[in-house]
Amino acid sequence: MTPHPATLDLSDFRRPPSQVMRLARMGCAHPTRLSFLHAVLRRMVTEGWHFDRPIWEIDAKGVGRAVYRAIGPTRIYSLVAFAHDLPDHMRSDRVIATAWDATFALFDGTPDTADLDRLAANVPLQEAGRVSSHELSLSRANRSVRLFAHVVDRLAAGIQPDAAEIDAVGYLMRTTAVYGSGKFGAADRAVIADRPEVSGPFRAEMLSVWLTRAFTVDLAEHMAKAKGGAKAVRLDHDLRKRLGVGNSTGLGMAPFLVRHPTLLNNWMQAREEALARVRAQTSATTEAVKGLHAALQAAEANAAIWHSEHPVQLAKLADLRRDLTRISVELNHFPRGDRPWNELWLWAETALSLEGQEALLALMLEPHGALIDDLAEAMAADEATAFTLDGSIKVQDFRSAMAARYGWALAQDYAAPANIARFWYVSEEKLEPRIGERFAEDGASLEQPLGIGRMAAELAQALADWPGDQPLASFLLAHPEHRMMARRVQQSARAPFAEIQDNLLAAGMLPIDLLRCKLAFFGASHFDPRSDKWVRISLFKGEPYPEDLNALREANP
Amino acid sequence: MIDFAETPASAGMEANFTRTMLSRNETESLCLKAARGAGFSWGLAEEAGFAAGWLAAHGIDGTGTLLALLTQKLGKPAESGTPRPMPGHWQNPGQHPLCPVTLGAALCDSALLSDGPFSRETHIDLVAFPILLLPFLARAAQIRGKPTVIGWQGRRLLITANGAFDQQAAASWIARKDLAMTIRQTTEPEDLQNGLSLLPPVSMAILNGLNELALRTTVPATVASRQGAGSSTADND
Repeated sequence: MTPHPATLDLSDFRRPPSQVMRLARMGCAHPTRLSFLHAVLRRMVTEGWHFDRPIWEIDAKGVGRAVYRAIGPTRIYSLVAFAHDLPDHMRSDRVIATAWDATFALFDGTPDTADLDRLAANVPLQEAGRVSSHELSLSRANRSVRLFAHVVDRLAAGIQPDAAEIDAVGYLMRTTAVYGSGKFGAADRAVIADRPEVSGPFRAEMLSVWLTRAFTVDLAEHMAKAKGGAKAVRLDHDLRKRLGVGNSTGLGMAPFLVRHPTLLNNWMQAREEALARVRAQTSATTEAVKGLHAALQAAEANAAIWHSEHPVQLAKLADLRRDLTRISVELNHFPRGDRPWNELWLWAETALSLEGQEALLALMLEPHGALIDDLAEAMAADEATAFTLDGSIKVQDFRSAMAARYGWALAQDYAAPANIARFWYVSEEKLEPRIGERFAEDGASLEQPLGIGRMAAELAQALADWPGDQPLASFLLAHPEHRMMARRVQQSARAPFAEIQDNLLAAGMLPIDLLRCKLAFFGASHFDPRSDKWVRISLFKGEPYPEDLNALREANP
Repeated sequence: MIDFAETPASAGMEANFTRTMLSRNETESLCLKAARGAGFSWGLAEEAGFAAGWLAAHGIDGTGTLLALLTQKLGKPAESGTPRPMPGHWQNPGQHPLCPVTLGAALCDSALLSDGPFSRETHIDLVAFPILLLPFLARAAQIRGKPTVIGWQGRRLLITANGAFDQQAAASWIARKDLAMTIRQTTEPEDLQNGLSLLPPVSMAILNGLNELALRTTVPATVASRQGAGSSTADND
């Protein structure tokens, strides 16, 4: 029997943080089987969850409310959906919007009439309303006007929509915000921290988005029926599957990865540990080889319909398609050697672009569920514990620990204008995170603490003259301005993947690299930048619907 | 976007609501920003957020007290209220009482020092708004894994090694503007348990005050910044 991967020495097969935590590579991240939406679906399948729609009160114009329930072995979660009639001129994906095509809350349990009335008075207002500790998330979505109309018109006329039209957009609606973790009065993470089904990062949010996908199809079919009467047909099963839920997102989510270093570490470390376990194997089973080929085929099909008009993404798509072909050729000789997966990986590091390497990582993880899926359960973080500083450490020890881990930060020249060209700030209107040009715009004095590299260098400089035998506590009392960075340094001692090892203030920094990394962990496909700070993606494309899981459960009771 | 828009906790609450419920996350996040807006360093502002969130989780509304502290802090130099730690006596070198956030963070930082404030009985000079110090004293006891006894004016408050505290004794701190105290480690048997508390409702007027301070961390919009923020393509497609 093969020893458990956790007891093997995997150090030869682990990528160092200095390789993994670079923006250029993070900006090539692909979703893997550890991604949050896959972890949610897997658990629901394993535990035999079932789903129903106890309330559907939607009129012919598509206005009203509906409830979708996810019923697990111990608890029920309900998506409460409100459908609205939104004039085109009010449709905006930005946080400045005040109305949407549909609004949602994920309710903890089954809502009664009083709950629904309370939610009806608040959820459609989104940020301008309040939810309660009975709600786990608050979200909204806008239609893809063109595809939604196409699907409704076709179905109403009794014919299926055009597959090419569906692939070109990929979703009927795109969410423009999904708020969890205590936002606007919703339940704090602590409320769900002891529930394995939703304690993983963003699982409640992913569940809500997945149920939203079912709602978008139901709504289109409902409106087609109202329009076409007896002539109307339902959406073909294969076409449904090609639809995901879009998501439109801007800079708002970029600071998250910087503000939650322990969480970022746990995501990265889980993925990297999975790769190391796969690489360390001494053989490739027939089944795993078959799974790898199947994953490659799926990736090629996905790359073929992945559209973008953004120049950065176009170049990456060209890299991806070329590298998938190279992988396909290389697999003609796979498996070979004592450690076939490691040989494949080492080949990729010399033969493929970053885009191709990160794609291969996802492909190699895919056929190894039994080996790695436990890692998906270790991606949450106890940030409260990580918050506490140890002030008893001697300054000299702190200094040398810092020098060992922050070389990437300390080597930069932060007096050079190009290295501090940008600054992150929060705008007074709508309190939106934004990024500005330091030497052209006002506001740098109100900079957010996201330039970690420069903060590290400033801390190191201040510490240089402090007596080495003094405890860190004495330094922090005299220099509270370095407290935040000192805390990060201590956090990263236990969390090697906590820091993005690039300068987030640099002139050439691309915020969409941060977004791509985070969205890949969510499980997003079809990353499509609309500027260097704004992106659309698709979630759950190709995945089953609630009714598919119901059927699966009936087939395997 | 998914999560983490930075939004004001009171957005959308009707002005005629006098009290409302905040999640612990909202309390922490708002108080962090307000503390930063009032002039705390980012790291100490995080500590202020921690303190208000911890109090809320224990059923105590610390937002009003924090707003009072922050309002007082506005006109003073940044280092005002910083303690001078001496063996057995944490002194106040200034004219105003010690800042509970600065003091609390320093006590926690020093919790494991062999000659630190918990290694012997330590007198602490007058500290402003002592209820804001309680979360730090509880955290220090947890860091040390040893119970602490706080004494003042013939009264005492026990904090256990796991951070549970004598709620009745602590209640008398809520309304206090300042307090001098003595802290010492103890070996008393621990029989304190703090059950789960409901989050306390928060006054709208206080929320507005905290939001006003939080706004001081933001940058007024310009045409350039508005243009850069969204998609370069239309949302109606």
